[in-house]
Amino acid sequence: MRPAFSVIFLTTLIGVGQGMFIALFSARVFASLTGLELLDANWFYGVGSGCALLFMGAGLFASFFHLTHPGRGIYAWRRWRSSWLSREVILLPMVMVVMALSAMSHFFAWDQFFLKYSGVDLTWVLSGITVLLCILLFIATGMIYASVRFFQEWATPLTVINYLLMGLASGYTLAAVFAHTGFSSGYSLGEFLLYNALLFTVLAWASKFWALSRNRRLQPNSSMQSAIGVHHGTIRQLTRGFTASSFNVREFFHGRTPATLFWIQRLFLTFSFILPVILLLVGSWLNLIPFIYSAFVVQMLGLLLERWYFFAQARHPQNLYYQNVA
Amino acid sequence: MDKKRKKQLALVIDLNVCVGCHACVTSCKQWNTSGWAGPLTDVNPYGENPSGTFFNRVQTFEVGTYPKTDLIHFPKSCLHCEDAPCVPVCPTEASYKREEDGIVLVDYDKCIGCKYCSWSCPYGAREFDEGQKVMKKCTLCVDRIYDSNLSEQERLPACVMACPTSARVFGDINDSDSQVSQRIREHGGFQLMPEWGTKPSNHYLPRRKTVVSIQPDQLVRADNPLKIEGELSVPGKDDRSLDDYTSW
Repeated sequence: MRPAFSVIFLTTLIGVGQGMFIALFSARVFASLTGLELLDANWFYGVGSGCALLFMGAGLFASFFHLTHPGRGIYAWRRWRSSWLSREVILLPMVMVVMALSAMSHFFAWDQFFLKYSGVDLTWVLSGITVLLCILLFIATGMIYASVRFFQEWATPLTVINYLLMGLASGYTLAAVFAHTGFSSGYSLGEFLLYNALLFTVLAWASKFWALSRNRRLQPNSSMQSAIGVHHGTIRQLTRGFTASSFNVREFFHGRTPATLFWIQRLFLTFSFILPVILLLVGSWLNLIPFIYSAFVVQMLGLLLERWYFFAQARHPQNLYYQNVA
Repeated sequence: MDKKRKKQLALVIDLNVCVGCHACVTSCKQWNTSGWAGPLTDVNPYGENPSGTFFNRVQTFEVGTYPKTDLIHFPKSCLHCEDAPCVPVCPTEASYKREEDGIVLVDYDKCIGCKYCSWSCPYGAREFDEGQKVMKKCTLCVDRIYDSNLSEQERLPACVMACPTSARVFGDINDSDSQVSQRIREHGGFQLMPEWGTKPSNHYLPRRKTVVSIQPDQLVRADNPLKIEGELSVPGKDDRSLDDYTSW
């Protein structure tokens, strides 16, 4: 089908945002388990969560360009019982609100205040809820695609796993970049975040590879025979019924050559996974911070290409009805 | 087992008699672009690269290899599936299936234009209107079939009214006595892409071969029953027969 740029940006940007928040939370768990003394912890987590929130906001902003009546989007929660899109619409603002509260609770050191009067560390509670919602949002985003059974390339649990792993990979990479921006907490947590970025990039690579090889073996569920109910081996469309353009032709055909698709696939595999791994490894061994920075930029570019390919590779059964003009 | 069956309006399209004239396409377009719901927008209709919204298309397929081919004209519109996959995915409840007659409709005032429903239709029955920026689809002419201002025989979808060969029949497929149910039953009605489990309500009737079998003895005069008894010899080809003497 034809990839929509608004959705490409929405899914990659919120993926980074959620991944980064989870990365910072895990770093905090790591710090408290290992007893690391962090001098500017509240600053670090506060600014870091705010940074994650910015990516979420940018994603939300991009999503509006996908809708032709964004003003009516306010009613998009109504089908939450059955529509994963509805569930995402509910979860995304929820994540953003709780993430903002969590960022502020660090930034303004609300934890001290609440701890004193209630005995509950508010930052842990808020960031714990945010992490939970982030994971739910990953599932909702992935399920939007995985639940459309007509796109057989998407209708697999791998879609959800890929969304989760690629979000975590880019989120950890961004968190590793963030840890190298001069925070003293960053010095203590930088290595933890960087190695996790490496781990999740490799995991995402593996699961993407798995999904790609699965899709190569895919047999279409529908055929010309079932599409028009004529059971003959040779069926050819003479005309789709119109010579002009139509929605069905624009939405479900990407119009690129197989060679373009092949090269985009090679490019995104290199940019999303191979190059970031090399850059992160070299950056950490030789302590070259620009390498770590560029790992994130390269990975983001790669993930945008990956998302483009994800949409373009998907073939819809309706295409059987639109094969010839005249 | 006295459960009352739900009404499900649908079309039955006879591929055996469809001649591919596109009268249903133009009639549908004319009716549905003129109603209170707004036009079926045509973008750039007289310029380069025109594009328009239609509820109904007639496609043509060639089956077999020349010269042993068959030409199938294939009208395609929303099939008003009994288990419509486009409905539960719509986030705003703009897409819905009517309880009372099973028609799948879009509330244009609720549609946000996310196009998710079109992804969830294997038949490509939904078309996005570039003018009103909402998703549209066949309504089974819901604004005709219940209009008491129209005479009884005109309360039919516009495509059915227009079809010159009566290839389109409209009715309740859950009423076993209806014309559509009889046609489905007696002429081998089938559904499109049954593999997806969408249970389309619209059915298609297959091509039927009209075969006349003539035996060689039918080409000569064989209508004299007496020859069977052996009382008379078989009459010559040009001899007068019973038909020439009698007016039945």
